[in-house]
Amino acid sequence: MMGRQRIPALVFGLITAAFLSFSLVYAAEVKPAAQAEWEQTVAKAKAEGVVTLAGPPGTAYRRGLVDEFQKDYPGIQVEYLGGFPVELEPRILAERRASRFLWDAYVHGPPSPVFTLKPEGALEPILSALILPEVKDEKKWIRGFKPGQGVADKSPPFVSFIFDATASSIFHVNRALVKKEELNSPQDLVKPGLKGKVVMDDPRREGPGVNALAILTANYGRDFVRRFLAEQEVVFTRDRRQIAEWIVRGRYPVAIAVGSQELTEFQNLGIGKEVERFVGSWPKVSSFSPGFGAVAMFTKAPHPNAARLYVNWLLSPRGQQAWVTAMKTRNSRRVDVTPGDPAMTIDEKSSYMVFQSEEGWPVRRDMEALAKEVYKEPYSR
Amino acid sequence: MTVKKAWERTRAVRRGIGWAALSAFLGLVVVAPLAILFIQSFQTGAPGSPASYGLAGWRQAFSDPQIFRAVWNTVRLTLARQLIAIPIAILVAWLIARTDLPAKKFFEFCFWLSFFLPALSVTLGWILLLDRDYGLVNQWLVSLLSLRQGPFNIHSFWGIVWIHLATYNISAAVILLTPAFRNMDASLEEASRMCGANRGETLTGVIIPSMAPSILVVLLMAVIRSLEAFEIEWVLGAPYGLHVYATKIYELARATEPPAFGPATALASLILLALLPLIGLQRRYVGRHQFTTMTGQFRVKPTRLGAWRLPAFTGMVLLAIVLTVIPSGSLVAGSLMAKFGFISIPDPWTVKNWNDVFGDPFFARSLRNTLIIAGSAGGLAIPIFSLIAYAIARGPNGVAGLLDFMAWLPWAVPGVLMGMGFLWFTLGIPLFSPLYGTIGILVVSSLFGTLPLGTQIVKSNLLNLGRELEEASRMSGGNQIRTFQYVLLPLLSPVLLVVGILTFVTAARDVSNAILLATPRTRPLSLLALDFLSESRYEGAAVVSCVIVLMTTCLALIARGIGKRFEVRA
Repeated sequence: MMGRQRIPALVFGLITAAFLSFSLVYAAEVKPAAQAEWEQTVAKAKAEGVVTLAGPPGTAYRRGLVDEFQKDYPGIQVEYLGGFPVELEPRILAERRASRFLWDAYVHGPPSPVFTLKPEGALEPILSALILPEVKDEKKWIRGFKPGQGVADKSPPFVSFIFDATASSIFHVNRALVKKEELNSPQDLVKPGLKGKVVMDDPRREGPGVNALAILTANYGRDFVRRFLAEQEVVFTRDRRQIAEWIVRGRYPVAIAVGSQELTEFQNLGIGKEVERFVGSWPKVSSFSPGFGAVAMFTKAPHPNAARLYVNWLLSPRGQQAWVTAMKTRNSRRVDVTPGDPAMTIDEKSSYMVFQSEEGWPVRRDMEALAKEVYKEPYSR
Repeated sequence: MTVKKAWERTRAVRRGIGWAALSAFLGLVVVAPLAILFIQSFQTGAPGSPASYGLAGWRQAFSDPQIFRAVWNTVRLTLARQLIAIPIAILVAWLIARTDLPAKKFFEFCFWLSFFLPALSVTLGWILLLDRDYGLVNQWLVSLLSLRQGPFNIHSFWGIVWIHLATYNISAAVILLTPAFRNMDASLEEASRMCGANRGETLTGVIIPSMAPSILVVLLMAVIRSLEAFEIEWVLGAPYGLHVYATKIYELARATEPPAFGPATALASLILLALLPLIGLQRRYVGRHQFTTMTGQFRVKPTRLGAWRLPAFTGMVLLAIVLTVIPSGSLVAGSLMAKFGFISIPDPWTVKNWNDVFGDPFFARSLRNTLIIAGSAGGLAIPIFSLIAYAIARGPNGVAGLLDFMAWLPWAVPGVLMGMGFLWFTLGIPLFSPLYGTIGILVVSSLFGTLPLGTQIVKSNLLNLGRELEEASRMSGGNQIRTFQYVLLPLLSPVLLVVGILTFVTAARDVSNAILLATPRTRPLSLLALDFLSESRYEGAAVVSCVIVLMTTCLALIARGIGKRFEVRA
């Protein structure tokens, strides 16, 4: 009896052993293949000696994207040029049309290259460029490689890999001037008592202001946004430092889409300690924003191996930690990287809409149009 | 002998070829980028999509309901600024160049320094003083006079006028007019005085009319630059809905994603339309009058101010404080602040910003690149602009008119758009495409951007020189090159140095071309400043600006020393 009883256990044990042996053999074959590809890429990249990188302007971005890589690969010189997409993308397009292929990789704020560079065939499919196992592993990334969240594209070929995911906060409030009873949730933004007290990043052009309105409209509807813009005499500015300075000084005690980095710098100096960020739950959908945290690779790149090496490095735990450390208030989408702003991390369970994606783009454009429509004749002093 | 005669006989042909070559070259370099931009105004496809053409861009540009208000704001701001700036600049240039005002060299230096200061830093400095709520002057006046609110508001129409006057409007006009005033024969003033005119009547009745070419050129430049100005308006006016024409263009070209070059260029074409009659009127006026103020009997004799010496000196001191001391003080202070504008925090002062900039791995390379770009542009500007100006001032009427018109064209479109036009032009024209990606293209683009300024200033000064000087040289056997070297160069040296320095400082500060044409290896200091500005670190940007100002000031002092060796002494 005992022998019969043992047969299923024996069979199960044998199957498990066979499966494990197969897995080990398979893994042993795959690992060296990836390893070999990686080593080959590194060797070729070292022979190329240079990687040309276009990216956002600013010393923090430059340091986050260049300095640590340079320590890891001193033989490969990163040539970095920072600029805004409105400057870099038309320039790169013009160069390529004149058969000048000067750039290897592009760290950008999505999804603009999906609309400008991708249709020209200027960008490589990014997922096939991933070599390192810890980079290729979808489980290492919150939201994986999901279209619209892991990559900015709606459909393949996917060219814009989102690596930064910092949850969006809509507003900040100077509590020395506006009490909780007056403003405690985004719905309160239309309260008459806040008229003339709100400043925001100008939503009549692409930027965080548009993103904020997109989140508001997704949760409270378009009419809510219209009412907010039309009734509150919101002051628009494109200067992010000005928004942060105005809220800490109290000129406008409520600010929409304040740059967290700008605000943190003030608060680190002891200015505007009473400024609070709205961190609450949204009734319908939350959102995260990659900021300038997405990467793409160019076709016909002058240093294709250095480009692959760089992208893999950037998306590795080390590259992502370098990014987060340099940016201070941003978070990586990687699960194994310490967040720069722990209060603004995202998770796998909540529902997110990323308006900095191809899918979210029409909502942004609609918000821009709405802001322009409502704000036709501004009051002036 | 026969060869010499044949050479003489073909002089007219050779000259004709020379004029044609110069016109063709200028036409290529100046007209081609504009033409490319103009064609782009009809491009309706988004970047990345196939090219398609139509009038959608034009319709979009002029259907914006705010555009007419923006044009009106531009007109009234321009009028207000120039009505104040030009008379002050004429008076100041006259005081510096023609009178016995004490410390006039020092005052002249102050205007130079004022011109070197970056507009954004100066604007921030004045916001710190005159902001309605937290401006230091307002706070002081509120507590002193028990007011409910500060009397000044920098975020207003008059705030914008004030900042423009305090940055470039007055200082640039003074810098450009002073050499022209200096090259005026004292006998004109003496004749006026002998006819019974007092100092004021001599100034308004003799000096200003005979300086008309220079004054008109400066006025025209100021008006055109006013049409393109947007930085100050962007910071002070845009948040409160005070838009100007150029902020609208900037909005389309740089603040829209993807950039709407078509509508932006369509809008910019209005500047070209405004430019045409202005250039025509200026040429017509200058062509109908004789403006020779410097002849073979040239003498310099300062006018005695007498009882007006002290009031004039006091006025100049006040002007120097407003235009130079306060802005440079705020620039240096800003570079040493932990946070620009916050002096009541526990540790407001720091040298960290300087350490950050000097420790930046890009700093040394950027500094070297800036010195090469600005130095080359400044050096090349002198012979190139002199040649073009000479052709305009002394060439046959038709050719001169054409060249004059073309020399204005780089300013027909705001810098934010011209950079893109220049990029397309460089990549598309085989003659220039090898320069793309090199430092040379940044030198060429800087020369392109300062062409109107340089040629027009040299031209207006040439018009003040009597032809008899050149004729005398030729009659003595001097050819054109020798005449230029021994007669015109010494007379024009002060103004040529001004042109060289202005080109240097413009090239050192240029961002709009650099961002489109520089590579990681050729990026200049201005892009390092942009790095700091884009992350709202005004303090770091102030450090870079201090370095550029220091560099330019040293150059100006060296140039002044060199200039003294060439200066005409009478």
